[in-house]
Parts: sequence; structure tokens; C-alpha cells
Amino acid sequence: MTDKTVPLPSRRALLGSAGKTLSIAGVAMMVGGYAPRIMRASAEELSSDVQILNAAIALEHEGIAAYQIAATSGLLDPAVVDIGVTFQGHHKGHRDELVKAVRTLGGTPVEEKSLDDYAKSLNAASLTNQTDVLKLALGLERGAANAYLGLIPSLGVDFHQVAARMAGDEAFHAAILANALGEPIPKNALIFG
Amino acid sequence: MKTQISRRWGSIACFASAAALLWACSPQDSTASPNPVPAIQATPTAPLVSPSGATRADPVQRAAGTGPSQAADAERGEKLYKAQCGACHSLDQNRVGPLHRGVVGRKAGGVPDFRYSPALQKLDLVWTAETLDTWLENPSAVAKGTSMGFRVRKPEDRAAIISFLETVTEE
Ligand code: HEC
Repeated sequence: MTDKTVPLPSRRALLGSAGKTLSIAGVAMMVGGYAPRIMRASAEELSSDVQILNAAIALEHEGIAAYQIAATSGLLDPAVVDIGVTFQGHHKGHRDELVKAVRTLGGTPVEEKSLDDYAKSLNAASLTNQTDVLKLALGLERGAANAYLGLIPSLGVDFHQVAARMAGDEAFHAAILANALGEPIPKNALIFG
Repeated sequence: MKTQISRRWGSIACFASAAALLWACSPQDSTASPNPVPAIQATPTAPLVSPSGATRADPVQRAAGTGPSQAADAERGEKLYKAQCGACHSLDQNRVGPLHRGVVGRKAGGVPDFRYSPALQKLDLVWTAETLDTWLENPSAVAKGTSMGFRVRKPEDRAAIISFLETVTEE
């Protein structure tokens, strides 16, 4: 341990023990007291987490926008809109959690783009019916579950559990959407990751 | 619980566990889709297959870079690409990550209009099968501070994804 690195335990103490949901408010207060040390010492590691968490925020922004586009497309049954809005609420919850984490690390959370930008990059113009919309949502949710699982090893340990919990939510969404589309249940274990 | 979900979901819910029932309660009252059932039954073979080989029967038996197995690899790679990279990347649109068409042979950080992290902006590297392999194994080992944290653990999955990326050249 050189003085360039914050020893893991103290970083843990700062960010809350790994077993808990990030309790950001408490953490922020503690961070105050340690700030000079953090800035000098583990700036590199922290900024790597900030970058990765920001990519996750960008992913959540896109998910929120996708459900917005879907809900207002006129292609969905009202009952489906209802579910979509609930899922969108989960993505907003993820975004909020990630934004807090990035701020706590001293970073600037990435902003969302315009709905038009998302419509274009998701090729929303090609959606013509409910099945198209459900397939798009399924692809994004399945991808997001895998994405969170795949970035865990790159994140600091303090964020492992929160990333896994988000992967769990995305997998839940994917299961419901796959079911709605009539996809068969995967036969083998370890469906994601 | 089940009743509650079914009620909320309407035709979409159908949370019963029998596969037969699932077919039967696919979104028939999707008014916008005139004939939804056949379309939906086609989906198991459609691109969105379960990730990580859950539905693939063939175990990995490829010899790197040899003819027919390379084609099979690219096909497997395309599925992996959709399932694993598809949350952040597309071939032709910048999203969370940069677009991928033509990536093999391109300079790292070389897609115009994409806002790369400082780490990638200053990375002096061309994407080849080799550099992509180390990148996918652990992006931050290649460019410390990159915003891509996603890793592909299995070498054979990386190889398949790279085979696929080699086929998506600039038009
Ligand atoms: C969680 C989102 C996410 C996932 C999942 C993801 N990436 Fe990325 N990827 C990014 C981001 C963000 C960047 C830009 C990195 C930077 O600027 O530091 C990137 C950059 C790249 C680059 C560099 C491109 C260039 O123009 O220099 C390659 C290659 C790449 N990703 C391949 C992949 C592949 C292949 C997969 C799937 C196995 C994948 N990525 C999965 C977010 C992701």
C-alpha cells in the first residue's frame, strides 16, 4: 500500500459496508472528513468507478426514454402501457441511485439526451405493432441484465451489490417480457451473464 | 399473487407456468398486430436468443481462424453481441457506447461524434482481433479510466464476438 492508494477498509468505511445498500447521505457526511485524502489518494480508482457508473446512468436514461417512446406510441394495449410505466419507474429508481453514487464520488452524472435522439438511435420509427415494441424492450432489458453482471468485476467492491440488484430487476423485466412474447423458458441454468 | 398479476397484465400476463398456456395467452388482443400468434411463435429462433449459450447446444469446439468454424463462430458471435453488447452498442448508432460497424481496423476512439472518455481519447491503438481480445477481457487494463466496464470472461465468447465484428465492415 503506497500512499497513492486508499487502503480498502477505509474506502469501505467511507462508502458504507458492502452488505448494505449505499446509504449515500451518511456516506456524504463521512466523505467530508476524509476528502483531502480521497482526492489525493485514490482519485484514479474513484474516477474509474465514476466513468463506469456514468455509463450505467446513460443506459438507464436510454431505458427510461425507450419506455416513454413505447408508452406514447399508440401501439400498446392500456394494460401493457401500465406495466411499461411501472418498469420505467424502476429504471428511474436505478438512475437516481446511480446519480447519488456518482455525486458521492465527486463526479458529475451524465445528462440525458433528447427523446428525439433516443427515438433515432433506437430506430423507433421501425416499430409498427405491440410485438415490435415488446421485442425492443426485451432486447434492452436482457442486454441490461447482462451489462450489469458483466461490469461488476470492473467496479469497486462497494458497488458490486447495487449492480447485482439492478441486474436482478432487469432480469425480472426480461422474464415478464419474454413471457408476454411467448418465448420458451430457457432450459439451462445461468441464464444471464 | 397470481390473480393480482394476471389482473394487472390483462392478456399479457399469463403467468401460469405451463408452456402450452404461454402460447395460448400470447398477446392475442394486440390490436395493432393483425396476426400475432405465428409472428410470436417465430421468436424462439429469432436473434434475441438467451444469452451465454443457454439455448445453444453446441459446446465450444472451434479452432481459431479456420474456415467453416469461423462462420459458425461469427453466427454465435452475433447472438452474443446482441445479448451482451446490445444494451450499450449498436452497429450503426452511437448509444451508451460508440457504433461498431467497421471497428476492426479503426483507431481506438475513432468514431466521430461519440464522446469518449479521456482514457479512450488518448489511447493510441488500432482495433484488431488481438487488441479487441484484451479489451473485452478487461477494458480498464487497456485504458485505465475507461467508461466501459463490461468484461467478457470466456475466451471462446470473446473470439466469437470478434469473429462477428470482423464481418461488419463499412459499406
Ligand atoms: C454498459 C455498457 C457497455 C456494454 C455492455 C459494452 N460496452 Fe463497449 N463501450 C461502452 C462505452 C461507454 C464505451 C466508450 C468507452 C470510453 O470512451 O472510455 C465503449 C467502447 C467500446 C469499444 C471501443 C470502440 C472505439 O470506437 O474505440 C469497443 C471495441 C467496445 N466497446 C466493444 C464492446 C463489445 C464487443 C461489447 C460486448 C461484448 C461491449 N463493448 C459491451 C459501453 C459498453
